Amino acid sequence: MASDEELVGRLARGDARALRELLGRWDRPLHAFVARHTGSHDQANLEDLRQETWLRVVRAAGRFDPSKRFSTWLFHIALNLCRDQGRKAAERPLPPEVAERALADRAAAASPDAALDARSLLDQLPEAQRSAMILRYYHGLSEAETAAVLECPTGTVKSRLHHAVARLLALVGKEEAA
Amino acid sequence: VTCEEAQTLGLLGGSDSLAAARHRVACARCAAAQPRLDDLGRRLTAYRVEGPPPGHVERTLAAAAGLLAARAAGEREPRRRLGWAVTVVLGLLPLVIAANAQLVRTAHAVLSGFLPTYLTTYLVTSLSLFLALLLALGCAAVPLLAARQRFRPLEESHA
Repeated sequence: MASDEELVGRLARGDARALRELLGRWDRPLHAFVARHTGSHDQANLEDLRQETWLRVVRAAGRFDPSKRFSTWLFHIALNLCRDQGRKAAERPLPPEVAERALADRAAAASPDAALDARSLLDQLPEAQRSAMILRYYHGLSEAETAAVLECPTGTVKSRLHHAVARLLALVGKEEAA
Repeated sequence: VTCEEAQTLGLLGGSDSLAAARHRVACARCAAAQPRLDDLGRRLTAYRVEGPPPGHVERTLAAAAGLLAARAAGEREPRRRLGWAVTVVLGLLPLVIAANAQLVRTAHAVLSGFLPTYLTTYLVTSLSLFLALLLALGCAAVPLLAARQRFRPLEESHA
């Protein structure tokens, strides 16, 4: 079976089967990452982000360094897109229908359902800490791989994770006290 | 292992997990925080995301079809250019050789009219070698120049 990195090499030569294979392996983890990072259940928005990530992978396949892991590269691209979207959303007011969806999402997040509770907890972390937590906890990336995705030193990732866990524990403690 | 590290390792795992577990048992502060850590772990684990909607793979492949076609064309283009360049060079080679031979013959005829034979032979041989060298360099440069003209498909400056 071809490795992910070999498939990217074939993708750089325009091989559609290589893209299909990569999609089969990585579309689900990518979807989960984008959904958790944005905290959104808006399927149209998630699909846009996912599809744009894959298109960027195709465009940049020729410059992929095969000595690096495909997964860290893929998550790095997706992370940049999520950040771009977050910045744009902060700069312009939401259209009414999107604002309604966001309010519905927030109301759902406030329900006692455990999964939504975790989402609301993660939403309260700063973006850098949230990214590190998601990559480390849900995608099983090592600290070094997480650092590669976030383009920062491993020590910074460790520190972000410590802060994130401390903050999450504080939030859980506050909730229990209330 | 500090309390912070022990709690982070307790939640996320890592190379020092065993030392962290020992610390959490021995440290009163960490032992007190353990129920909260377990609760946090349960909440995070319960956060599951539904899979992508069906048909997404096909939609992505359709969206990428144009880019993939451009990449495949980009792969063929350098070989096509090289083939073209070699054909042109091979077509012109007999003409260049004939022109060079004519030049050498003319030089020999002119020089032998007023120079001694040994000097004429030396100069004409030098000229022949020089022309042969130029021809060899010219032919060798063709594939290099064709490779430098590599067709670049659309690529992003940042990924």
